[in-house]
This record gives sequence, structure tokens and C-alpha cells, in this order.
Amino acid sequence: MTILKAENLNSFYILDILGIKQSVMAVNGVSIEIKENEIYGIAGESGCGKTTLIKTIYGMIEPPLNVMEGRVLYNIDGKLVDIFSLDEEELRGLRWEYISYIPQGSMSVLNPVTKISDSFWDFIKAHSNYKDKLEVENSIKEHLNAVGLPLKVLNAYPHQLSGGMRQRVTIALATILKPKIIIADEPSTALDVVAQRAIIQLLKNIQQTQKNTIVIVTHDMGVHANISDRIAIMYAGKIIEEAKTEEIFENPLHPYTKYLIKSLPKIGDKSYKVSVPGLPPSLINPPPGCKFHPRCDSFKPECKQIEPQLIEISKEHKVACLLYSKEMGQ
Amino acid sequence: MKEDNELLRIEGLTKVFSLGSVFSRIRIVAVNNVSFGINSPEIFTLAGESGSGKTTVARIILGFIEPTKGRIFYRGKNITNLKDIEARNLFRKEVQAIFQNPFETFNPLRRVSDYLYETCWNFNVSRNRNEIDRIIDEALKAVGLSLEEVRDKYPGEFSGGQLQRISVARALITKPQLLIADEPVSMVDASLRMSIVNLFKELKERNNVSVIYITHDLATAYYVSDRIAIMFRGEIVETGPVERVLMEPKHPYTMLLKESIPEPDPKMKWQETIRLMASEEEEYLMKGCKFAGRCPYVMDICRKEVPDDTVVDGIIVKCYLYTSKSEKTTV
Amino acid sequence: MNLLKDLLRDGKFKFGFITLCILLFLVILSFFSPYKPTMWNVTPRDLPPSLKHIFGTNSQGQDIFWQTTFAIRNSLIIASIAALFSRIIAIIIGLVAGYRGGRMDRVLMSINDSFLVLPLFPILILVSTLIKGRLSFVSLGLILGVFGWAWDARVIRSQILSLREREFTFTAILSGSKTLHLVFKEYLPFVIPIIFSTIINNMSWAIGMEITLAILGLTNLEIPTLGTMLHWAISYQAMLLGLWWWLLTPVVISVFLFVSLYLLSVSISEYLDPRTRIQRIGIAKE
Repeated sequence: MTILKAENLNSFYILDILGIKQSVMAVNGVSIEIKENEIYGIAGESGCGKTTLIKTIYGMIEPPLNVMEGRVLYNIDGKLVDIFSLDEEELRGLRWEYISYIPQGSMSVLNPVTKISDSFWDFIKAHSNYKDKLEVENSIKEHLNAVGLPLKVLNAYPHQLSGGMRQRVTIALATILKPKIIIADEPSTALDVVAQRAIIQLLKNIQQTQKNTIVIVTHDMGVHANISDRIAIMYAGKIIEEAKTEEIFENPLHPYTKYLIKSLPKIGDKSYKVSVPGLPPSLINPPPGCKFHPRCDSFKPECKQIEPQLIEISKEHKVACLLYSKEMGQ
Repeated sequence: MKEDNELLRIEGLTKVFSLGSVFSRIRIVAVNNVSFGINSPEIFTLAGESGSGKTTVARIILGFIEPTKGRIFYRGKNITNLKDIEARNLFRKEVQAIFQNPFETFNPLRRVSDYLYETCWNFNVSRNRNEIDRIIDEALKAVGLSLEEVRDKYPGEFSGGQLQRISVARALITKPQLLIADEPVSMVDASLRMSIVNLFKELKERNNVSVIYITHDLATAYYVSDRIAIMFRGEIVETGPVERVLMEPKHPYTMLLKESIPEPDPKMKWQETIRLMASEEEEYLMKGCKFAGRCPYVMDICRKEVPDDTVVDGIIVKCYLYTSKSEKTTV
Repeated sequence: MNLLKDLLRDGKFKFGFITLCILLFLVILSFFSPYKPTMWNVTPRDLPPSLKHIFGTNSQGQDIFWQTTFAIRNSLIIASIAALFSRIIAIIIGLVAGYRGGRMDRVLMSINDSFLVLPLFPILILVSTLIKGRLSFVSLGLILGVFGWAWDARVIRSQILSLREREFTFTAILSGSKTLHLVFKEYLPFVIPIIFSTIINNMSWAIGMEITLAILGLTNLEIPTLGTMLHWAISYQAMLLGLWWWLLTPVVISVFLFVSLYLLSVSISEYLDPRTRIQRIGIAKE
């Protein structure tokens, strides 16, 4: 069952500096379908547009971000609802109860001058109608137990906790109302390896218990390998490949994905690794045709003129590359 | 254990930070009795989580912070708290560094090439205009760029990967013997990291430059280094050749670190859950072994006294699991 | 040049700049005045504005228009001296205290804070009463300068303190930069926007102070400045006598002067703010 759908999304940042107008085409024709009860990963370099895509899906559209085209649909109680048709009030009602967002560097969303328990309490009060204080306290404790956090964090102030612990508390906060979709933007990037593992395991745990959907955005392919069911690779504002995790790692099709997988260092492997050559493209003046063509070693003259579409090549494996699409023939 | 071609030696380096007011001071021992040696040439990794003290060690070596205790030897000469200006200059010429955040490495309001010129000029690499241009161009070409691409541009016009490369080029102008790289690729995109890491390999193999590679990313550490030292809460807990330490870790913390690396291979997912400490401060202030709070093999003595360094099969470990097995050695 | 064109795009700057230019034009005219500014009774008294005397004349028999040109000139000179002098002190003290730290910093900041808490107004009144007659406008400028640096020195010092911790300081040290060079080449570009915005504010403050002191009769009243004009107009009860042109002229000119200085200060500091500058650098090249 589809829980979230994006159709031909185009979100640009319209900048006006000293009278010169420029559009940063951060999301450039993206269509995705996310299912219930899955972990959907979005991978890509910084500047490829993944954070913008997430913000658009969540409905957090503030100038200079503008949605130029496209729809975002949530599956609410069996019906597909276009979120841009809802007003601010209705959209806000969905947040945290239906869809949760954990932004990058979210450890700082906790109020530094109140105890953790108060943050939880304020949160629940703002979003539901619990009258019974005891009931609420019990549900908080239950939730913390379910996600494996020690109850003593409730009495602490945010600055007394380590970075990893703060992040887990933030995740617990974001999931206490049991939302159907959780969007996590680089949830473990600022943390060290051990804390990162704890965060990722926490997210996995929550998904397995609550059977909801997690959309996880990170450039770290190791994290995707451990948690995502399906991965979408983003490049210069477009999705260029999407498949099950095993497929992406064992059988990458797009030249960029191939480079990405090959360049990952592994312990036990001292063979020579190379990076993707060249530079990431500008989102203001992207290259014509396929946006990866200046860095691609399978480049053909047609790649400069035709922009490849995301096409399903084999079961659930989509790729946007002229090497595979029917425009070229095989 | 001093070797003939030893470039740098750190002995018993300790740094204590005092925080708080007149009435309540907390002492945080950021670096506790750290010792290691760097040969020439070699790539030596100082690995650990953020907050383990590795950046503090780097800053002490570079002379930006004064150590509370301990000595530093460069080429056999004691350079701790070096006051002599000439000797300091010589040291700066031979020991250079690059840092974690490529966007902060250069002043956003100054041209990047200015730093390259200044390095040339200040260290007397050359004072001839044309020759300076040639030297800078060479340094930039060695990192895959050129003076033309870089001239007269500000940091904001480059990507993180490019800035990091320019930073390396700047550090190479004085033809240093030792390069200290503090988390050089953690803020660079995963897809571009290897090109910078490969640079370090080249530097060692072609130019005989030693590199102290400071990182929390064990995968790149494995790929590029010869030896590795694992730091935990200010102490080095394990030192040795990188294959041995990372493939067959001896210290329980190294084992934890190795298991926690997200393998980019969906067939090798994490199996068990782990425990995290609620507060880092607690661990720093512990008596005895700082890992005792989370160690699956903890014994009573671990909580009471800090273990000494033991040598096991050529690897230096700081753990009571090994003290009865092998001879005790102070290094 | 490019800089001016960029700045002129901002409406605030445009208005401020044009107004200031007009005022400066009047200042230049002062050199062509047919009347000496300190002389009385060179024209018939109390004449309303006419073609011959554009702003009318006052009870002392002076042409108000030409008086005004001198007034603007002198007020601006006092303000510029005050602003320049205080900037120089502020920069030196701020830079040294910020970079050296330690005892030097503590000593300088104690001096600084003493100046901050001094009750400025009573002291100025005291000083003025003591040396009233011999107070040339240059000395007035210097005195105002001595009292205007404390706030900015602290601001500059904080800026330096934060810059000292940034990574590019280490890069500069590794590039062989010596302390003085470091402070001037690396930090000054960040400090300049502060200086610019406060220099103009400081000028406004100095003009305001001068006007206040003059109205109270505490400065040398023979030199025509915006303040002294107001003083004489009030002493001669121009309002009651219906000589509105005498009172209105310095008031309107002062308002225009303050507004234009304010707009210039705001738009220039916006322009020089390192954050917007960094944005612009990229855009200019694309």
C-alpha cells in the first residue's frame, strides 16, 4: 500500500541578490512512491537536493523555496490527499501524529532550559487531548522502554546528555505519537560510529515495533546498507536510480551509482579505490541533457541532448540512463 | 622503542583543562599520558570518537596549545614549549597541517591564493614573483588543480572537496616532512573522499612524507595507514600495525568500534544492540579504566586502577585482559 | 565605480546619498559666501524668505541661507573629527585587548568600562563651562571623540575573540603569518563593517551632542553651527515673534542630516556584512 506519493515535483529556490534573480533547481522532476511498512532510503552527495525533497514532502515550504510544479499525496485513511490543497491548520494537524520530521542536527531542538520530561509533556499536550497526567506519564515511560532508552534521562537537562543520547531522545520525542511516516534527515551524521550505530538500531527497532514507514536521508551508504529496504540515488535534483538495497549494492546500473559503490572503503580491503571524477554540478546552471554526462566514462554524444527518464528496467529496479532506456535501444 | 628513522616522538603527553568558577572547578583530563612515535615515512592513524582527545594531541604537537605534562621530540630534539623563534620557524616549515572543515580553513573574505603566496614568502621558499607562481602551480597540480583555476578566487567559489585539496597544496609548499591531517575527509562527500585519501598515500610513497591521519572513520584508516593508535577518552588503548589492530582487535573498545562501523554491504548488518553512556562527562571522570562502564569483560580491578601498557604480539594494549599474559613494558 | 553602482541599487542608500550630496553641495557653497559668518548686521533684520535672501534673515542681521552653509560645514567637521578620533582609539584598544588577552585585556577592559559608565552629559557640561570661551570646534570634536570609543572597543574586542578561535587563524599561523600581520589581514575585514556602521552613528551622536550643548549655551556661540543657530533663534524668541524661517531652517536641515546619515549607515553596514558579502562574491562570478 502506498503511503506517500510525489508526482513530478519541481521545487526551486528563487534567489534575488542585488537585483539578479536566480533559480536553484534543487528538486527537478522527482516522482516517488513510498510504501507502508518499509524503510526507504534516499542517498546522494551534498547539494543534490535531498534535503529540499524532504522538506517539500513534509510540506515545509517557505520562501525562498517555491514548489513550481507537482503534487505530494499522503494516504490518509485509505484516501490520497494532496497536501498542497490543505490549509495551514490542517497541515499542522497532520504533523507529528501522521508524519514526523527529524531534521539535520536535531539534537538542538530540545529546549535547553527544561528537563527532558517537560519537553515530552509539552509535546504531548500540544498535540493530543490527554487529560490524565498519570496516563501520559505512563505512556512516556512505556515508549522509552520500547525504544530502549533508560528512564533516568527524563530527569536530565539536554546539555547533561551526550550527543548520541540527545539524538535518541529527539527520535523518541518524534515517534511517541506513533506517526505513520517518519522522515529522518541525516540522523546520525554528526555523531561518531558507536552512537551512530545506536541511532540506526533505534530507528530500526521503532519501525519493526510500530510497523510504520521511515524515510531516511543520508549520504552514508554504509548506513543504507544496514537499515534501508529500498534506496533511491539522487543526483543534481533528480532520482537517477531506485531499487532494493541488495540490488543497488550487487548490481548498480547507473555509472554514478557504480562509482559510488566502488569507491567505498571496507575493512579488510586494501585494493585501490577511486572517487567519482570531476565536480558536482551547479544547480543553477546544470549541464544540458543528462546531468551526469561531464563526469561519465560511458558518455555518448546523445547524453548531452536527451535527458533520460527514470524507467523500470527489471523488477523494481529503475534507472535514468541512456545506456538502458528504450530511446537508445539495447 | 626508538628507531633510527624516527621523525616524531611523543612521551607521556598530558593536557588538563580546568573548567568552572573559583568555587567549583572541574578538571577534565583531555589527554592522559599519551605516547607514540612516527617513523619516516609512514602513515600513522590516530583514531577515536569525537571527544577522545585526538584533536587536542594534534594541537599540542603543532604548538597551538601547551601541554600540562610530557615531552615532544622532533628529529631527536626536544621541542616541547619551544621558545627559540628560529627553531620554531624551522619546525613550522617541516611540520604542516590540514583541518576538518574546508570552509573554515580559509578566511571567507580573503582570496585563497593569498595563503599560498604567503606560505611561499614567509618561509623563504622563494621571493621571486615568477618562481613563486611556478611553485604554487606545481603544488596545485600535485592535488589535481592548477593556479589558473584557483587564482583570485574566494573560498565561497569552491566546493568542499576542492578547498580541502587546496589546503593540502598549501601545506605542501614548504616541502614538509610531516603532515598532520585532522579529520580531513569527514566533511567531504563520500564520493570524493578517496581522491583526497589517495593523495596521502602518494605523498608517502613518492615524496617520503609522513602523515598523522586523525579520524573516526576506520574504513579509510584501514585503507591508507601503516599503523594505528586507538584513542578513548584521552588515552591510547591500542597501538599497532593497522591490519592486526583492525582485523584482530585486542582491546574491548577497539572491538566495539570495529563492530559499529556500518559495512557498505547489506549482507553484513549489525547483529546485537549496544549500550550507550548517558553522559560523556561521567566516563571522563572515572577512576581506573575509562571503558569499564561499558566493557563486556569488566573485572573489579578495572574500576580501581588505570591499566599499564602491555605488549602482546607487537601490539601495545592498555587492558587488564592481557597483563598476566605478557611482559609489562613501559614505552 | 562598481561599488557605488551596487550600493545605489538599495533605495535607502540612494535617498541618503542624494540628500548628503545636496548637503555637501551647500557646504561647498559656503566657500563662496558673500558674507563673513561671524559678522552681524550685514543685512536688514528679520526679513522673511525672498529671492534675495532665500531663507530670510535673522534678528542679528545675517542671511540665514549663507549661515546655514557654514553651519552644516562646521557641524560636519566636528562630527567627523569626533568619529575619526574615537574610531582610531576603539580599533587599537579592541584589537590589542582581543588578540593579546590575559592581563593586557583585563587592564584595557577596566579602563574601557570606566569610560562606559561615566555620566557623559554632566561631564560634558562641566568641561564646556570650564573652557567655554576657548572651545574651538576642533577641540570640541576631540572631546566628543574621547567619550565615544568605549562601546565600540568592546564590540571589536568580542569580534576578535571569536575570530581567534576560527580555523583560518590556524591556517594563517601555519602559513607563517606574524601576529600583527594576522590581526590586520585576517581580522580587519570583519571589523570594518562594525567600524563603518558605527562611524556614521557616531557622527550623528556628535552632531546631536553639539546641538544640545549649543542650545544650552555651552559652546562657542560665535561659530555658526546647527546648534548655535538654534541657540540664537531660541534666545531671540523667534517662535514668538513669528520669525519661523529662522527656527525652521536649522531644524529641517538637522532632520535631513540625521536621516541621511542613518540611511547611509544602515545600507552600508548591510552591504559590508560578511554574510551578505560572501553571498555576493559567488553571484558576481556566475
